[in-house]
Amino acid sequence: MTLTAVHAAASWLSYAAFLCAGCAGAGFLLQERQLKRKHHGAIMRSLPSLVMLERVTLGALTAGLVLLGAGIASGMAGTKGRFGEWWLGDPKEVLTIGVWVGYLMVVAGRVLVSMRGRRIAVWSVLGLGGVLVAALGAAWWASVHPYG
Amino acid sequence: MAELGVPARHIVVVGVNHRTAPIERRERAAVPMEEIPDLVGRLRRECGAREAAVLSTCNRVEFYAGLDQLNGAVGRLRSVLADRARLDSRDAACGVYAHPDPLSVGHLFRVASGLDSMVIGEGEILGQVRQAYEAARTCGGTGKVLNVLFQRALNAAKAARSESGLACRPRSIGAVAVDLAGKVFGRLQGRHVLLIGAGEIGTQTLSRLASRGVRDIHVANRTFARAWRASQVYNGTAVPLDAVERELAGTDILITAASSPGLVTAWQLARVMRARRGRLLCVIDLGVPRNVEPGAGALEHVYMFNVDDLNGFLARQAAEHDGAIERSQALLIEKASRFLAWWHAERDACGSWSSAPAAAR
Repeated sequence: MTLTAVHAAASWLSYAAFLCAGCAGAGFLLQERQLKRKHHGAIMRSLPSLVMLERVTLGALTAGLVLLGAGIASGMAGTKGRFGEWWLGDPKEVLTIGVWVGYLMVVAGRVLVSMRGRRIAVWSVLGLGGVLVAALGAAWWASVHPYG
Repeated sequence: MAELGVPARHIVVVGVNHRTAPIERRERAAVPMEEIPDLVGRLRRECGAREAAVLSTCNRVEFYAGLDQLNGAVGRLRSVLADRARLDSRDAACGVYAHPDPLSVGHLFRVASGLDSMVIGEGEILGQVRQAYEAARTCGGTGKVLNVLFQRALNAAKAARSESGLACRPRSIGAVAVDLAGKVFGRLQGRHVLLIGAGEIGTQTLSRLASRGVRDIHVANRTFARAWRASQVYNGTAVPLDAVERELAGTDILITAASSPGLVTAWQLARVMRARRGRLLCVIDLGVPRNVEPGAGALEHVYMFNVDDLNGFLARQAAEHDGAIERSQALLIEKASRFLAWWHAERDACGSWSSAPAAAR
């Protein structure tokens, strides 16, 4: 029971973190567009600097990655306890692992090949699509996950 | 302390400012902070002011007074001010103005918001008005009416500055350049700057950046001696012109203000950017003709602005600022009217029994 609670809490918190990252990434893309096209208006003034937006994107991505990792691990432990197996092959499981690996590659890209700025922002926004499907898409398939 | 419950019946401002008096007169009239309690006491004793406050800045010296009766009081206030500035208060050209209410109320709202300042919209005055109010309040100079007047004027000024965009006033090209670098990097502390061309406009922009805490300033110039001189002002380093490409690898903000076009080519910059592994570069090209090949602006992670871009931003800011002045004026009029309505209601409520013991509320 507690394991399920940890699993649910960590997973949902990770979705929130990825949402933050996506918003900051979108902000980065918007602010970059303003700077490149020299639109000096209310949008440019009200958005924070590119460096700040990039930092928030990366911080949120990393936090999301750790939280989702914890969510997956606690979920697997719970599955083992309840069903005697680590892995049920549930579509949501597959999707979530996919999302996690995707985000891992983005953060690894930052660390290993210093992927920066625009590309991180683009991936943080695209990643939201994956998160949305993984978080809410379970309803489309038969699943052990009771909600959404 | 002013009697509670019965509000002052008149609000008057007497003063000199940068438009009515030259600096020598304003200097003489100026009131140092430590003299304010004495002066406030004197205004109340000698001029019949029930409440008084003194605002003294480098651009203005003003006495605000809440009076029960006008007869003679304004003249006495004028002569106190004129005495300080060693002027003849009977001389119409002495520069001392006196506004009765409601003008005096509107005046304070305008002053606090910076609309009456030499540089319209400057923000320093807001703090100075607050200080003047605090000083008068601490020494017991203000009562019910001036307390509410100053508090409302300060709030209205704050609102006018933030809501109407009055605070974002247009400035120089250099300031716009610094703003834009700030939109890329946020805080500029610790950023590396390379200036190519140590002429006037270049060094001016550099000094603005230096005041924002950039570190590691490098200056390149055709004549090395000039680069060296300019760099020494900011504890920087002078570099020869042919070492610029190497320098660029570690630069965050590149300012070019040289007279040679095509000093940095797009191809060169592209090569530098590859080696920088995604580190952002802000290029401010102040040269005419342009020093950096325009195509370089399209490179990833390069944010480039030339003189026309900066002038465009400046013009946009100026136009927005004009609109902001109008918007804040409307807002101040509305807030001042609200104060007047409150005050008149208070006055009328107390008017019929003002001789009776005050019922403090």
